[in-house]
Amino acid sequence: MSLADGPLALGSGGELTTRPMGVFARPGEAKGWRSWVTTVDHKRIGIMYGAAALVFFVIGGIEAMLIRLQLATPDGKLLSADLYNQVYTMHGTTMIFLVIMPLGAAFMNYLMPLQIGARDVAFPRLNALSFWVFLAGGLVLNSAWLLGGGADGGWFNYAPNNGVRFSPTHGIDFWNLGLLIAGIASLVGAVNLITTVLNMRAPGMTLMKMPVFTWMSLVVQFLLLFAVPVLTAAQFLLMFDRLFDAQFFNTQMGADPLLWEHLFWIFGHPEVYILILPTFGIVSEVIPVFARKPIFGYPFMVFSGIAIGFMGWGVWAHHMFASGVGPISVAAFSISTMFIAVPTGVKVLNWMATMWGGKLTFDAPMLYSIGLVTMFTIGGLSGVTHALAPADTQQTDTYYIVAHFHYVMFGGGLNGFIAGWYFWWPKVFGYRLGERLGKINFWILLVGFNLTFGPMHILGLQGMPRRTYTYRDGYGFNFWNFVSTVGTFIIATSMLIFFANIFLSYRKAKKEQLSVPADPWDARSLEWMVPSPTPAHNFDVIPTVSHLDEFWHRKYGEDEEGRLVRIAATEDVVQKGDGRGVHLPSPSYWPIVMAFGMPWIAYGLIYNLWFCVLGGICVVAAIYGWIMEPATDPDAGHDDHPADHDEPSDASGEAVATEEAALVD
Amino acid sequence: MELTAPPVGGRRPDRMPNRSRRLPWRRCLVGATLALPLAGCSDGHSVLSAKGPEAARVSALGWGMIVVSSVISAVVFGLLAASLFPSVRERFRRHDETALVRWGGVALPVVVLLALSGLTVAAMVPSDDRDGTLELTVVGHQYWWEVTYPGTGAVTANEIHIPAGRRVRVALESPDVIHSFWVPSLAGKIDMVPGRTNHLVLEADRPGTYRGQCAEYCGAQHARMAFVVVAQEPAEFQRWLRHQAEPLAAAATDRPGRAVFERESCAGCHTVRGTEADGAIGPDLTHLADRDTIGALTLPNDRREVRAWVRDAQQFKAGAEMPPIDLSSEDLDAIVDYLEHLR
Repeated sequence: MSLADGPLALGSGGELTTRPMGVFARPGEAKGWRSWVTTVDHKRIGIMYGAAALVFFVIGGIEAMLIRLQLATPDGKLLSADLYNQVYTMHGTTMIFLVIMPLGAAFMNYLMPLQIGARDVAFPRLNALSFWVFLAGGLVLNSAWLLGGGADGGWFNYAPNNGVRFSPTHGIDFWNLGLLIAGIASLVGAVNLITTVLNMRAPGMTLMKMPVFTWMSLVVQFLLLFAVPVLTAAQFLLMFDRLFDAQFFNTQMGADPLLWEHLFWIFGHPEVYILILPTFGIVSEVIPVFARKPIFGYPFMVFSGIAIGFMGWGVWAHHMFASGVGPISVAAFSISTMFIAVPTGVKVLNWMATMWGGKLTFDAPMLYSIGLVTMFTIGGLSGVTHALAPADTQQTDTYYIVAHFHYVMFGGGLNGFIAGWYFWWPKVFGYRLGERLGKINFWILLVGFNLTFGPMHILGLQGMPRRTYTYRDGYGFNFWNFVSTVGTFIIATSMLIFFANIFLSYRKAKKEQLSVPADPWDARSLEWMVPSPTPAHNFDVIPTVSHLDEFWHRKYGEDEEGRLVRIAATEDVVQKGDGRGVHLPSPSYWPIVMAFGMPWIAYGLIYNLWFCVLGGICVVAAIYGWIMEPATDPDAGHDDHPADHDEPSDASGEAVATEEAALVD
Repeated sequence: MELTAPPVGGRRPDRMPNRSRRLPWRRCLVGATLALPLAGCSDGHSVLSAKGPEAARVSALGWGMIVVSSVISAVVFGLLAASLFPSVRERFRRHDETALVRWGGVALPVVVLLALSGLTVAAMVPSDDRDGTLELTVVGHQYWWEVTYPGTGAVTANEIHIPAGRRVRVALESPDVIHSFWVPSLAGKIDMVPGRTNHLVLEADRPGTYRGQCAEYCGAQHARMAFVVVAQEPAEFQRWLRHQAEPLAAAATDRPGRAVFERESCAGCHTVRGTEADGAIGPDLTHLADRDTIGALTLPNDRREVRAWVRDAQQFKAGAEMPPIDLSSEDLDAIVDYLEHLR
């Protein structure tokens, strides 16, 4: 377009249809960093979520090691009291909000559309917005380290200790505003993924034919949708308290600090299931593949997940058994907490029943999945021990609790994500992670994990309270603390092996020109039907689904005696990745522009309200640009993919070859 | 800087093992499973050694649950291990896995959990309110404990004396942030919430010293907010209480340090009853010399440590309210001497 009929031609109307903003051309790059910052592809967004989470994982891990080094011996001198309190607060906050939550988002973003046979999520630009806003929140939170020190109130940051009177530095402001921003990301993502699952499933894929991972994602997104606003409300009150003297939590003005506790935990307990259910989904995908057997009790699996989702709302006060809430509340929450163990136990038994009678192979993803089942069992049972309210008064706020939630979050959460990494890595990146290193990685991690967190059970029962920057010689704390610190280094070693494995496997694959087939594990769900790595348009042809484990059923059937027989070669079933005429959503600048404005608003609230004006202008401009921009660029055409190809393979009689991905935005 | 005073470890003859006679299996279990590092150590500060009925009530439940959990874990791991070995697996192959989930995953947990619910509620019912319950108030401050005995005028800090074998009802309050009052070997913890008063019953079977610590994160020096409960024979306790209620000791009235104490900033924060020092920010020092430690168990209460503490408490407890005091060496000596006479 020449200059003369560029911006000046806006009024004539002729250009409006193709260049809605008149001035800005849509991003068109398919490669290079600019293609990443403007992408709306759910797969690239998933990868970016994962990469960002790994960076934050390294930060949170360094914080963890500082904590353990400080506590390695009595009267540790590595960190001051103040710095220790910042480090443990930031460790918890980072690991929960910036590592496990976005890792869940990474897997869901990448896999969920593939598993339901969709070409993208329902709102691709909103998806990009989720990621960039999450990143903005994480950066605001961690920028505290460069701007005077991190938050020092613990991840649940009880009032009134979180007020300006007791925490006068800006650490808690960064914590608060960073998480408020990240909360927007979670909400946007929840709306998007719920809509995707409900509206964009492939023909024939009823809800009860969805893979378990997709089901768990759906439950998690509903939890996010309802839980995050509660935290946001609490944080809003705190923000007004700290920045504008609103006195919501000022006990000297008559506030009741239990208000914060209730609000936080009404969010905080569903949050626990937000963290763990994605990995329950992951192992529910991995175990059947390596047992060569469908997931046992699929409806049990689905409904126990839904049950956990519902019951998770009725147990929050078990975090407050020692706070002096009334005896009826304590008894009620105690009993409801115990019974949430039932659906969880059903899941564990379903995984075991899947393995029983399966033909097990022990590749790395399977090892990590078994790791999850065992470690989570320990963590879940120790959780039941503090569901018993009177017993909890001896356990809460001690290292026993620290042990419990690390068995759940690390043993259950992170193990599952690593299983997922090893499992889906070939699908995502087109090369396999080294199997031998993967196994070494697993065993070292398992040993390190148990050495680190196992002794904390004992420390807690010996009477060591959590969140103490030091302890004295003579209480029997020395030995187990030292063991725990040693364990941390073993975990760190195993993670270094993991990163080395990524690097070495990549180099090997590149040097030897290795490529992975579409279906390296002889797997079951639809994402394995497309080539590895997944082509931009996902499916050449949207498959029509008639079974749970659709892909498996296209490969295998049963003979008259019910024995498993192969009915089609994998190569004939998988798609070639050469679909043509697929119309994909176009990239956009606006999500990152909008996200860019948010930290300015946060910094403005902390330092100078004029920054808020700048940030606000940025956000409003982005919204305006967004509205004016059609979801798909009319100029981009249908030529993203090679057109010189015969009709796509149509072995099982799928419909339309060149349908448009029905994307709205 | 090592703490030499109350930390435990069986030096006192009155702290011999006692309750474990009731439930000998507990001791065996501890010995067998947790081995050396646990066994010899923390008699005075541990959930594992209940020294009073309140703690014992909870401890039975806790131990029961740990046993139940261990058994369940063992069964789960056993089943899991069996599934890894085809030969074992095949032997049980005919069993219906649906039955496994139905009975093992639903029916059994429901039964076990119902039983646990019953035990939990039973354990929550407060034990009987016997006559003659002693009441006292503990106020959690950042980062020390103010202890008052209503009706007696006795005020002290970080050392809670109680008569052994009697129920003591403790009212718990906080003027600043949430703290949590916890004496692991005597009772479970309960929070001290600003604007509320929570209650907890303490009872020690025998005379002894039991360590407690703040269990809810309360700020920079949360780790150095400890205290001891000293259970005494009732007669001895009464003597102690009468003494604590008295004002300034006669021996201290003409010490030269008293003038310095009242002239310098000390009196602005600390009270010494019977003198002009009536500050309400720091601990009551009327009978400071009776206490074994200073700074909520941060340092032993001896001349050298007290002197260093008065000069710059921040080096031991950064973030505590007590500021460094700029005093000449003579004034400092005088104050330490005065404090030593506050008996």
